[in-house]
Amino acid sequence: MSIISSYSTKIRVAPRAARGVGSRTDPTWQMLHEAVVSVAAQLRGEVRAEISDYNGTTKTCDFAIVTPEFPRGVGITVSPSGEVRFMYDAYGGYKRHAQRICDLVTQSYTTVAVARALRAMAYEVDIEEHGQGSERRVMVRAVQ
Amino acid sequence: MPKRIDVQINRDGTMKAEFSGFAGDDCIDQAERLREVLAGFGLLVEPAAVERKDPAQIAAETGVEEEVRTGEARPVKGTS
Repeated sequence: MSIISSYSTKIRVAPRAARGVGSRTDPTWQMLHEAVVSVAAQLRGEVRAEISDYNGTTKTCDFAIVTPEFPRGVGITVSPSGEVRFMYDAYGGYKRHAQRICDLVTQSYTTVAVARALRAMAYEVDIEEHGQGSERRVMVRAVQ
Repeated sequence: MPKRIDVQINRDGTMKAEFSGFAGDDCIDQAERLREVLAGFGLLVEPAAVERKDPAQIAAETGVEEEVRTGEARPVKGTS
């Protein structure tokens, strides 16, 4: 028998207390960092540790992505329980840019997690990207 | 026949996984195993819908025709 399953997803990394440093960094934090770096590069932006709001007030985050289209940046914080949260000030018509960054981080983390999981299950994995903008989707193909 | 899992990841992070080339209920076991392994990688996934492929699709993938069970009701002894 074969099936097609649809899933909703939620990112939950290791709690901040278990994050670790250097080579001892928890794998889920490494994956989140990998996703953030990938999205920043894709949008020709930078990874920083703080965002700013309309008034110029800054706020420190675990990660922040600042891009030419959204210089205030989107902050990514991990709650004590490991829940990943996005924060930004989109006042002035930046909602679309901010949401795009959030979506790309979510999609990128999901892609990294699925590829690693399938490799751990002894599958050979190949990743393809299709479409642009809101139609962008990633295919992870695994064969055993 | 190789076993295949093709996962489509949408912009909002939702995903659709197609399991092909599995015999019997092996694909159900693999789907559950994938959920467990993903949780270890920080991704909690909840099934929103599961669609079984029809016998023609399965036969095309595996070369084996699975028994088709009908939903006909049969009388049970001791009941009226």
